[in-house]
Amino acid sequence: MLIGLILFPLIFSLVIFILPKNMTKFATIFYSVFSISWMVMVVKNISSWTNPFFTENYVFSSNLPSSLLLVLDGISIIPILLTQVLIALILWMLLAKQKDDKSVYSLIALMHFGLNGVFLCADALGFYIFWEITLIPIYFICAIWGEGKRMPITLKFFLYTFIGSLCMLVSFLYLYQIQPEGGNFSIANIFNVDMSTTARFLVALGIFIGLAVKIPIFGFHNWQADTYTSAPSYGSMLLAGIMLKMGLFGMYRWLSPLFGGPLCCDLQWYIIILCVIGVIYGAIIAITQTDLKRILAFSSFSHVGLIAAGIMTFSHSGWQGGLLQMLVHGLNIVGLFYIVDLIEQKYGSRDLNNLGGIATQNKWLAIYGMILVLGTTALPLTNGFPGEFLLLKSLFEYQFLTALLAGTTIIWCAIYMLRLYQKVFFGEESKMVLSGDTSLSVAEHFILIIFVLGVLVLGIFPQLILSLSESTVLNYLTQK
Amino acid sequence: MAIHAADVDMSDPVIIIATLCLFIGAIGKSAQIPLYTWLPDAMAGPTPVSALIHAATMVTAGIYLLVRAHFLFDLAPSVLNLVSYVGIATSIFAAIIALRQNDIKKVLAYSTVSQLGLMFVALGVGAYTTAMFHVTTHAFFKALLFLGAGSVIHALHGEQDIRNMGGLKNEIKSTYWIFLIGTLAICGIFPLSGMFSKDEILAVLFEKNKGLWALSLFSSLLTAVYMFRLLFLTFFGTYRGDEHTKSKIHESPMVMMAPLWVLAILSVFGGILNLPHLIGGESYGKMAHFLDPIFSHSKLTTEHMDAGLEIGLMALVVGLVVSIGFVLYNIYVKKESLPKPDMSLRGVEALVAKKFGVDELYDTVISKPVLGISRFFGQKVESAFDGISGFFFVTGFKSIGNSLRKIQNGNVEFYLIMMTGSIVALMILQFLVKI
Amino acid sequence: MSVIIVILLTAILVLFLHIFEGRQWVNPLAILGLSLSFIILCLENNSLWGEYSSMIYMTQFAKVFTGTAIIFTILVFFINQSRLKLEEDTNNGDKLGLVLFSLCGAILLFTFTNITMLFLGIEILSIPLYVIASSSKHDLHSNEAGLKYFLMGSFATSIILFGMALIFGATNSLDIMTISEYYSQAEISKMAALGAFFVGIGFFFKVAAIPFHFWTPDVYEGTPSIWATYMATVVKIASFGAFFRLYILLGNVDNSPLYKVLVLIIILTVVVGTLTALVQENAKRMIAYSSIVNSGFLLMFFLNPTSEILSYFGLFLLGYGLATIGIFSAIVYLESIGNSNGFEGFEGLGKCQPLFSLGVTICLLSLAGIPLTVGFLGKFYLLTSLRFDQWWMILLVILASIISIVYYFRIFNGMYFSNKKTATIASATIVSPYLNFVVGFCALSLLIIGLFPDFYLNIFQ
Repeated sequence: MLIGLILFPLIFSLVIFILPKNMTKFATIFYSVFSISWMVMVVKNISSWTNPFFTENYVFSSNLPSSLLLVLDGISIIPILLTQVLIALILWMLLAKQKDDKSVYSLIALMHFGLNGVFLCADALGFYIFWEITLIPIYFICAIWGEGKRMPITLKFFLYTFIGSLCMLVSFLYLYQIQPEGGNFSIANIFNVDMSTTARFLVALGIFIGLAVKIPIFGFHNWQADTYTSAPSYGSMLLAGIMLKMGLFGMYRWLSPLFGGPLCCDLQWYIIILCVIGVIYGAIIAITQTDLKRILAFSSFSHVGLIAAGIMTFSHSGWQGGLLQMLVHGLNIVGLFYIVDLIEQKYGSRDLNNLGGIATQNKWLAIYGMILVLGTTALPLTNGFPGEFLLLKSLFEYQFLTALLAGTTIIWCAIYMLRLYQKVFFGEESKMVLSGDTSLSVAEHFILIIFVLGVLVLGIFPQLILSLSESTVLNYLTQK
Repeated sequence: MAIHAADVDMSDPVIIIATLCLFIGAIGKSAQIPLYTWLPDAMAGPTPVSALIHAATMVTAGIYLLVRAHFLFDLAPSVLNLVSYVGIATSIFAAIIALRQNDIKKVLAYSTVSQLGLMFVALGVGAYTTAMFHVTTHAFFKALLFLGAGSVIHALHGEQDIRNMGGLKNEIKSTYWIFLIGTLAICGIFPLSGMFSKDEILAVLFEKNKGLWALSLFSSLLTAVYMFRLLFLTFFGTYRGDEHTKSKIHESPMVMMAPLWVLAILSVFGGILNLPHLIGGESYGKMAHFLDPIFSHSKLTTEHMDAGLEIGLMALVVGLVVSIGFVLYNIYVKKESLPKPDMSLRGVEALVAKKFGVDELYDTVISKPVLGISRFFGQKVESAFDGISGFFFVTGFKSIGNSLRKIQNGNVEFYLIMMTGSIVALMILQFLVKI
Repeated sequence: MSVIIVILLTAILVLFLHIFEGRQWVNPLAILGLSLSFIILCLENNSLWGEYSSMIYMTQFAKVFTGTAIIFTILVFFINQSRLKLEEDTNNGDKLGLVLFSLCGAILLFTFTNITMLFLGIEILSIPLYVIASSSKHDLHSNEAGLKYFLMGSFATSIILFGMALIFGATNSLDIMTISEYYSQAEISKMAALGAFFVGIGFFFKVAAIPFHFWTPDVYEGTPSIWATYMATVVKIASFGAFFRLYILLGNVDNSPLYKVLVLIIILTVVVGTLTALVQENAKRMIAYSSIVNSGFLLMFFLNPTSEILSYFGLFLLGYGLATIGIFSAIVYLESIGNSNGFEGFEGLGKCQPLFSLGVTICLLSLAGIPLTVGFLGKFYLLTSLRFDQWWMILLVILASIISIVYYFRIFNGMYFSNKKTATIASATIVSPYLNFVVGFCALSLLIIGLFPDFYLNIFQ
């Protein structure tokens, strides 16, 4: 069952190379529909909603202290769902854009393979391997189809994440080596070790650095804005929508078991402070940016800081809110990136100074954009609200002042998002807007409607998602 | 889980912080000091929107919030005091600004802020019903005034400056009457609705706190001043706009006027909702009775006051307002004195016309620093991060590498000497140095 | 010992065939001979056997390394075949013969049990290479490389010989079992310690560890790329195979005469190698420094030598060798169409030759240690072999891996991300099928063994 989620993307990424060019479209649609329906089938087969839903183990080397151990539980199911949906949507966007370079589809499928692996694999070495694999396709996507000074920027991105991952690898190796003879990398064994508080602190720090670069958390974020800006739109979507969630997911599964004890409590506090700084710092920068993609990058930086802070409180509301917000942020940011992409396609610029008055030219785009912007600003009854509320609640219970500071995110977000919306959609039509193409194709409508439905449905029924993870989260937190 | 409000300790700081935060929310929503500047600016929207959102419904949400949460505020008397101080300060401050505004909608906007302040004063002394009553009547006449202003603007093809109006009462009769009703209602002329609600506020204040009463009275009188000024400058005297516009002045169509008349009727008779005992007799205080169950726990419910005193107060207010009306009629209609152009204003007057420079103050104190910090972070700090990572990845390592590569100079002799030297050094390290 | 005999016979046949107007058959014959020797190697009895008065001993370890060396040589000959299509080479038979002789030397290095055989092996391995390095007769660089290699190589050989003499003097024996017994005593004589030290220094030269690396970049650059491939892979494997065996016998004792030197040299090799590789402008020189850095990594295996580590050591070498051959074949291709060895020579390759580039990409990713490739597994096992009280070594591996990304990925810069298509690449649309085969073989083996390392690791047991 679960192995399918990993194998099909890999097979597709190879098959698409062999297929003739005119089959690309058909094969891609088939693949996206197939991977979603496979996911639906997996979910349908879940018989009991207690931890974990499915476990599969494939041993393929007797020389490695590790195996392909796949686990689907309430925590991994949410990023897995998100991945399937977003990958399908991103593929459709590419089809709607009539991109016919086969290697793009292949690389995205390879990315899909890595992402599913990261979310499913409950073996530390396997996790690390999948974690690194995701880096390769995104590196090539950004560097081949990117724009601007993409070479140094993508290299910077790669180096940042690679340094982080290696720190994480060293931590895992340490956890493996201090096990008694015959140990392995499976999650059950790797955290079941005795170590001094200092060692625990250092190990947690190593894993944290790996995750922090991906998320990114303040101090580790320098690659982000540049990479989002210079990457092609689908690259930014993959980065912001899904890859970023790898780090957050890692916090649940690979960082939280280490916490407890004196030094780690300090670390928890430092991490939360960094997160909160990031929330405010990112938001403040977003206010004066003029490149739409940069605004979204800093907005994403700011939002994710809040999610990470909530998760680090290790409380029920923080974890549930974090999971919900992971999904919601993925949907919203990808939707917004798509809108930016459409604006750039149709009007030839994504600079605030060149845009304006699109609402009169293209009212549907403005409507979809409005709903997504409101979702991002966490207006009640949109999907951003319940998660953000839960996260702030968890922070409030942890420490009042951090909650107060992090809570300003709502104000900041409203400032830069509404500024963005005003400058892009309202006001006088700029020259570029007047000369642009004003229609939306059926496919574009279709994709945008899915995002809009996501904003509204999850805003009104957040329980749909929260109930998936409820029992697992309770289980995890009581064990701690 | 439910904790009864009565069980909470009054001195608990949590309740103070909680109510304070709720009050800050109300300040933002209901445009009180210091968060009132958005409301006059929001008048850029069309007049029906202003009428609905900025006068009648949305801005009163803050009042409603406090009324709903009254059981909490009852536990925090200090916050309640703050509420009334903020309310009275806003009320007078906004009223003073309104005196020197020349945009018909701006005057009404500041008037709204001022009236909302009065409501907060009432809330602050625990007169929740009274505040709700004023919310209701204010909704009637302020919506009426806004729509009336809209009708005027419509008639003048978008002209909003009252210095370019005048003498409109003969051109657009219907609108004039409506506006007159609205003005009288807001100024509190007997027996229009505004008089009842305002009088009730003043009566309560007179009982609870004489100082607040005096200030509120002053604020009400200022209301009369700027409203009569607005009325006279707009509808009386002679037309001061250009001829072209004048030839096109026309009454608004029926579809616009019908709702105005409905509102006018409500403004006139709205007082019936909560008549004082003195006038209403048996059917007094309908609204108060209706709301009674909600406030039954409240410790601050008001008592009836002495009838003679009530009449006296009423008469005092009405008398003052009417006399103000006459004085202003004299100034603006008889002498036809006009508001001076903004440029020629001096001293306090100029300050008032510029709305005390609060917008600019906020701009320099909040907006500019935030934008500055944003640019600082976005450019300086980010490039510092860039520089650090760039140094380690590129500059630093590459410069070391560049000097190291010089060893590789292609000269075999040099290579052999280096190798022999290394062997000697390594031998010393291995056999002579003890580590 | 039939493997060595078959190879020798092939070499002689090749030389004769070259004389008797059979030039076009020379290369296929060499490949055929090597394949035959490989098959014989596989079929040979697994039990230990010794020959020539037990001076050669074929262990399982030696067998795997011999097989690897033979396969690498076959791949080099395939690359050579692609060159023959394009240019007439009248001396091809000589070169192949020399390479085959040198391979025999390599096999001796895996199997020796007597230090005279070790010396013989080193010389048989090296002397043909001095000739090969200068085989491009009209190229001054090539001549220079040959001379440099010869001068410095003989310097190193003499040092090894000096060390051997001291060892013989101390232990009065040439048999390595006797010698290792002597070295495992608690107290060894100064002379024995010095002997081990000098032999070690000689091998540091052979494996190109800093500060004995000076020949590497110059020789790799000057030697024709095809033979540089052989030097970077087979010679590396041979030297490391011999050195590792010797180190286990002589150095892996308490109070080892080599430990401090080893640690210092590892640090120097990795740090200086990495930093210098970062600033190279020529792909071949960059690969030379990368080979130096990889030597540093391989030397780290020496720090905690156990019997398990043998197989991981082999895996690392295999990954390094396959990836290097893959990259060298790209360099050979670019040279054949007249591009420079600089990174700009790669420009447009990805657009014109997508599949070929994919193979090269996988090789580069493996060198950089990205998962799913042998390169990653090699580094992983290296890290697991290090103990956490040697944390500074772990740190070194991590830092070097990070910086290595920068210089390996510079090849990607040219290959994929440059927008201009170099005219020469666009016109030379066809990559020789032999080169395609070599790159495909390397890339696929890197992936398959990277996914299922048991294929390789289990042979050692």
